[in-house]
Amino acid sequence: MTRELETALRESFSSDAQAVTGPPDPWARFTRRAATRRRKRRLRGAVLAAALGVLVGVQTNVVPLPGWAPGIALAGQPPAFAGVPTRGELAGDKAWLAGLRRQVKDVSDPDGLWKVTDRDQIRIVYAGDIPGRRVAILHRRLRLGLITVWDRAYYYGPPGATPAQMEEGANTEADLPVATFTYGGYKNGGGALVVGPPDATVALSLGFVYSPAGVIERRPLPLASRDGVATAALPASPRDPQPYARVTQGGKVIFEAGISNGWHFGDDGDPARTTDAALAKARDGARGTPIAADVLAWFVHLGFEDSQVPVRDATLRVLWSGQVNGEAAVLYTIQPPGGGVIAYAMHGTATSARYDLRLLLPADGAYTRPLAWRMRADGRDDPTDRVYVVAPPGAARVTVTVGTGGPAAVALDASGFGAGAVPPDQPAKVTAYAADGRELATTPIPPFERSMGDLPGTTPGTRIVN
Amino acid sequence: MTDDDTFREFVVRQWEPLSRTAYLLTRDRALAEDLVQSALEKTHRHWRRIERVDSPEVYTRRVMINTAISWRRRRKWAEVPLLPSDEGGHADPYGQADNRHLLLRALRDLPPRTQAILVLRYFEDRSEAEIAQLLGCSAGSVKSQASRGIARLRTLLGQEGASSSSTTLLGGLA
Repeated sequence: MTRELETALRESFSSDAQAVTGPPDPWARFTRRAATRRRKRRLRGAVLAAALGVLVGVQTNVVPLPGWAPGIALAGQPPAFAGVPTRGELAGDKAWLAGLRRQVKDVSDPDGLWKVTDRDQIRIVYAGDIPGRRVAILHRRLRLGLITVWDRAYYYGPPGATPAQMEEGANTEADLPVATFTYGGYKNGGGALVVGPPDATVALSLGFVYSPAGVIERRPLPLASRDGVATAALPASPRDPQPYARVTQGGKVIFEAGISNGWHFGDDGDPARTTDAALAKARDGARGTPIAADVLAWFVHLGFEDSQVPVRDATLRVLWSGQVNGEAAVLYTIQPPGGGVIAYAMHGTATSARYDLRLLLPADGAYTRPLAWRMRADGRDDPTDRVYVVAPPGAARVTVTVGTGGPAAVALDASGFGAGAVPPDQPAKVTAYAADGRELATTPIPPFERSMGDLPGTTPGTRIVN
Repeated sequence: MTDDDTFREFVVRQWEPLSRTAYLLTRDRALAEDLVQSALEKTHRHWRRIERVDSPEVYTRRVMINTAISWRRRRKWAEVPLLPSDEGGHADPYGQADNRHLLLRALRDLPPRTQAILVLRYFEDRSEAEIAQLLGCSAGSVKSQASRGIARLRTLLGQEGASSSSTTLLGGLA
């Protein structure tokens, strides 16, 4: 058994690593990045030199400093929850908290080893049990030379864990006003923890709907938060229950976001799989050159998985398919019953795919508006000025307008597909016109997504509401 | 050949293999490149000594791996590349990718040091003694951590991935 797992590990590592290729000229890449980093170091060094003159040797850790020595607080931002007592059921267990402080690790990064300055100064924000896990959230002061920073670390262990059983799971900036922790899987469910300021109110929601207006509506979870802390059990589910937190303080929303850190999935009856019949039906009315069935199946699978829309009862429509950058490409939509419409553009193969567009649209008019998406360089993340456009059925022409500039016509092929150019950092829109010159519809061209961690429609760049 | 020439040759030769290991350690291409760059810069600073006294490859890897184990930045695990090597001629277009997703999710539940040991053992094919040299610990510690890591993976996959695809992955284990 172990040998089979070892073989699987070898194969998985080998496959994943193949995706990483070096630049054509590694030396040029190295020297360019080294020059940039030297500039940054010089800037930092200049600031220090002005303040401290001869103590450069200290900053470079040539001369080690004791933990109690004063340091320069980087960015000057104190940690959140300053002066707030530890919360959680272990708050009064001094022996456990002391054990945890001894367990806290130093941290290294490319600049060097950041050492915990003084373990007695570690501020434990929360220590207690959530369903299925013991969790501790703490702030530690780290020192590298003369620079000190506060850092927030998340430790977790099994229920009832001793301090020695607690492992560091992640770390973030310490000044964030809210700390969250979640875990779970399809079989046993999981738990969520939200820690805000003591006088804050925490609301959690599980699940959501894509409303027909083109926004995501959440389902609140009956929950009592106390002292700014809320915990919840996450039910076993084949899909990530997408816990979403909203924290208010004095009537002001100080945090609102999805807090999932991932979910263990099973694939019994994979809810993101479509049948051949559903795929064939989805092609009705599609324009462009037909896309291979296995590639379409894969792309659609990814869309259902990404949108978290159950395949059952959803409406799937292929609007266009063809070629992009020499690979199969498709623009398709997923619509949950009575809900908004999520458009996806992807290109790739049956085993590799690139998301080019994720956009939640209002149900009304979703299929009669032009859609356009910006392209990143293939194999890299660099934005390009290339924009692809698909006109709605019945459109005679399409224009792309950049910022406040004038509209530029886009040449369309027989399938209603065309390419335009938009500077990556400029807002733009695409407009479709009928043969008689009448404007049919206009759609903003979404900006490049920086993170795909949330559902489509979560951020303004991934939804259109008019 | 000058020191600069030999270091340049080292960078050209090592960039890609280092990047691959760095990627497996971070699952983030940008972080991986940062790791490689940082490790190479540190190597460059001590090149003359390292080249003559130490093994440059071991030194650079040691710096890179120890940095990755306790990086101050929060790790992200969003990226699971889909590769031509998943092609394999099988009829199910999802199967292998699903397996890899399951395995990656289980891997990310392991402590960073254990993950690094598994990458060194099963990707770089290094012996326990070599890994111990890289991590600055005993071969016994490497052996026990690798063993615990595999056992934990088996448990996690059994708990969370007990399904048709993980059955394939584990050869009927689940």
